[in-house]
Amino acid sequence: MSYTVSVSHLQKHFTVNTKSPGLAASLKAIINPDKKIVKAVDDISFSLNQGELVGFIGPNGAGKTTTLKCLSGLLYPSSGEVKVLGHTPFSREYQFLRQIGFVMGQKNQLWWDIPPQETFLLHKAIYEISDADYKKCLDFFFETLDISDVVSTPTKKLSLGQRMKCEFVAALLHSPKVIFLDEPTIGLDVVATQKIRKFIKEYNQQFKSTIILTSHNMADVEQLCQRLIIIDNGQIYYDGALDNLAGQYRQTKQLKFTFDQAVKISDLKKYADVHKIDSYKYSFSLPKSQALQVAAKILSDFPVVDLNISDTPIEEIISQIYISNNDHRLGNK
Amino acid sequence: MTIASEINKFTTLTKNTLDTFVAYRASFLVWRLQLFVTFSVFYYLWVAIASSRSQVGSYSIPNLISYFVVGYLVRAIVFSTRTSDLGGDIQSGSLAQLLLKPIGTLRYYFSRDIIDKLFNIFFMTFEMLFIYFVFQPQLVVPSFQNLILFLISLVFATISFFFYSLIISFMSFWSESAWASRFLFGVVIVTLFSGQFIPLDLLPSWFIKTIDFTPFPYFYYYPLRLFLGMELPLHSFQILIQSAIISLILYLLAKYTWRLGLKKYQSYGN
Repeated sequence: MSYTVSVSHLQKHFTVNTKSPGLAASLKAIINPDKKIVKAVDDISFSLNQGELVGFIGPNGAGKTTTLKCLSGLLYPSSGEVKVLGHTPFSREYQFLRQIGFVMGQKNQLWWDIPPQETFLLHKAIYEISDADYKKCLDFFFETLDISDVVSTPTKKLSLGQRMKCEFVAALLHSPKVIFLDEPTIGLDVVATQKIRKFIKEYNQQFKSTIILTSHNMADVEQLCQRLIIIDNGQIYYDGALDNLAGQYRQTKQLKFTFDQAVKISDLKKYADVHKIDSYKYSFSLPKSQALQVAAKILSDFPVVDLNISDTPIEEIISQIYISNNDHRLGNK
Repeated sequence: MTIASEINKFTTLTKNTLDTFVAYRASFLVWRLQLFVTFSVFYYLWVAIASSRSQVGSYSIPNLISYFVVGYLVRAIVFSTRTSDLGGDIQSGSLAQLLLKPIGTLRYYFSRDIIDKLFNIFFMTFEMLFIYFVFQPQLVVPSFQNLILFLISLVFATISFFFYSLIISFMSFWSESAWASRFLFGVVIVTLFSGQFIPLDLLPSWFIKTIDFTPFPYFYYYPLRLFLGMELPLHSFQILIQSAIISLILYLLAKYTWRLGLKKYQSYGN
């Protein structure tokens, strides 16, 4: 079976100059700088099928962006094999570049001083898009992203949300088969974030593109991706369905009570470990099997005005995984 | 990739560059003014030197004046470049956006260089008219043959300098302070060794013999010598051959350095 993206034992190591504080160290760094090898990506393997929308997550410096850059041909791998649409990315063949798109949340590809529509026209020329396809794509983007009234304003005068929507258009105008989205919702407000998420989902469904999404916003991943790859310290710690991960880690329930009068924490401690939000609000984290029983007791013993029972948030699960990886790594040193 | 699609890419790029230029027209005009003032200072300096004599070295007064006036045109064509932006693009990681597109990066910068040169030539035409009517310099009118030799050498000079300037920018792949290399090799050495301050044959003969093996005299000095008809026919031909060889060597070196640099590229920032 041929995969759209296949990565086998990929490694990317960087040599970084280091320097101790102080003048003497600065002088030494000029003549003979200390160097260290940073293993940004350390022997990872995975593969993606056509049309998959995969969340690629990890803490800062985990190796997410480096991996995407290796997949898009920006970086030369230290070792291992990468194939995207049957091409070796770093060869940067015309047919390969013609079929990929990359949206970087922190880097512009729009020309800063002129309106986005001028960048779109340049991309139309670069990707040799026919007039009919260009019009069809723009109509789709204008409708789903609601940007028809901003594309004639110079990029530098657009808000971050408007700019990011236009970045999507510039990156996807040529209908790429593989799309790399590197923190596309970073810094956006709630409304813009929702709009971008809805757009990614619709685009994936309509064009059947393979999408790899990195984000620190877990809601992006929860709402968009069925599959999740967790990377930390350059290594993959989880690759599977988001639901499986949740099932594996969600052994507890969160109970949040609001009372109509102040309640002492000591009165609640007998039921389970409790966390005080304020004198009227308390939360419990309980094993699933005990949650309903405890909730029923507290409801009968106290003047409850509101109760909320929820699963452990995905952020917390991911955070637990990062922490346990870190502890494990420190323990091995 | 058809010729029509290549022309479409170039014209769209030209249009966007023109729009950007309109946004920054004040800074472009100040740049042109700075070049014009520098030229005026040199022009009057050499007029003052020449005023008390009829010949400076092998140059008659009209030859010397023409060397600097026509040199003003050569500078606008050969040395106006956008390749200096590339070093910053490598350092900041902005190069990534260009590398992701199905367009040859070197071709992209060459197109931008041509656009930049066209803008400079457009403005310089008015400046040359101003110089002609206000300074009323005594200019040499070249023969048709010399004009052709000059134009061919100018094409080679433009190509050579493009690749030379690219190679300097590529240093940013290895060094985080490549601006210093650009200032030294792209400005100071080029200005001194290409004959922009002083015709090179007015310097000691060992000097010109030594730098004859470098690209610098072929950027500026030799094209002007050919314009003025100051080279023997056989040597003129040799100069063109050497210019072509230098262009080829710099091209191969630029391609090689580019490939090496890309392997080293770290694409900083997210």
